[in-house]
Amino acid sequence: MNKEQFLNKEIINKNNERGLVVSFDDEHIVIKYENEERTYCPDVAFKNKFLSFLDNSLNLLIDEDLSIKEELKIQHEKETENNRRIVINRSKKINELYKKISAKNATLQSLFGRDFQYPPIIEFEKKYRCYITRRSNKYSGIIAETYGR
Amino acid sequence: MLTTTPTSNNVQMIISALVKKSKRTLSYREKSLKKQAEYFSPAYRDFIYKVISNNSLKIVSYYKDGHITDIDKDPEVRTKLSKRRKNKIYTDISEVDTLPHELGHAVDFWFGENIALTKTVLIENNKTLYDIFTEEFESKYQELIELVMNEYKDIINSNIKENAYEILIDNMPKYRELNSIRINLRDKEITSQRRKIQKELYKSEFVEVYYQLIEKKCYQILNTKYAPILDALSSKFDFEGLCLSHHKNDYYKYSKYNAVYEFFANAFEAKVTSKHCEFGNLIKHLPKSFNAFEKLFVIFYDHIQNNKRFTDVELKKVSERYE
Repeated sequence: MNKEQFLNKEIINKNNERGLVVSFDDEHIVIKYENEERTYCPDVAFKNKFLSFLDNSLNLLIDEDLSIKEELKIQHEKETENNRRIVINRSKKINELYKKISAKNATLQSLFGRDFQYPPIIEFEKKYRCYITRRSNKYSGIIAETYGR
Repeated sequence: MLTTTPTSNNVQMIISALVKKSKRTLSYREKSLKKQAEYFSPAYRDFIYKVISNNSLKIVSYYKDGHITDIDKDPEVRTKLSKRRKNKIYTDISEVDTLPHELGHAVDFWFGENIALTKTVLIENNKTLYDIFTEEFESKYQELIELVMNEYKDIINSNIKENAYEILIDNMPKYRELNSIRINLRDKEITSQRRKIQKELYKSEFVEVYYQLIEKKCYQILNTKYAPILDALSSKFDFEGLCLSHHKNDYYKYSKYNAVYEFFANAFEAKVTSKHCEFGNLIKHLPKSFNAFEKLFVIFYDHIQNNKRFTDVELKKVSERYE
């Protein structure tokens, strides 16, 4: 949306103070009142109806812009959630595989000595280091702590 | 034909007899004792009870495998056994196969004239079990090893992969070498030596083949079918690492009689438990030895069941006995 069309337009706040729009971008709107200039976050201020233009057609444009942003936000959240699920599933699969390889490694160490290094498990640990976390030997379970990494 | 009176009480009687043997190591292991008692063939439970409850016999639980005090590495040690160690069986009670085997040794060693009956009781034609077994086994062991190993080869190659057996056999000396070097992570030289062998074994696919061998238990069929024969063969060939029933090759070097002692104990174990499937191959491949064992077993059975002394048994003359 072209923000320049809102410059120098009259605006009123909930306290019935009137002012003029001095500058307006995605993150800030600066309004010059009689005695001072104040800066607001446009999304919050317009959404809460703290600010409104005297010209109603401008308010309609702002509402339209807000609804588009809201839709984008929901879409983004959905995508994030999907990604999160994908990552968790992937992590679960990797951990299951790791459990199997670890069990095999344990058997091999009992056969070839505890100093035996089974190459596939070393490669696996290198490749998926961020997906697997080993607890102390006391616990055999593996925790997935992957999301966000 | 042996007459037996199998009763459900026999299991309880065997359990009580075992508990009395060692209150400290056996009395609290009720589940293992019950499993052990039930493992004995119902037909021989009363006989086993009599053997176990014999006053001269001592049994204690041991954490791994089993042995009796008379089969010791050092003959000096054997002759100087303290009263406490005499006639003592050490057995892993959680492994049901161990006690029947050790009882076989006990019967052989301690229920006759204080000398192993396998080498003194004359069975036929002035020959002892030792004579008959040695004669037959010496003439057949090459044929037997080929038979057993060919079967093992077929099982391994069909269950793991085409040349798995060759990989296993070719790399076995290296694997034994690895096992002979004790792990010491503080010693860099030893560690690098071990790593080198481990890497070679991995590259030659031995690690994978050996893992599959253990996982798929390819050795189990052979061990079930040929246990006494395999053990006897291990007196001639080193089976270390092959997962086949065996004693360490060195063990047979302590005494030339160990092979026949083990043959008797293995056959005894199969006889008094329900592992008679092992007998099929024994009858087929070592018929004379098996017949001799059967005769000796009947002598034991008869004497122990009827509380008879061994005075009526024909023994090898002292002058003819081997040292």
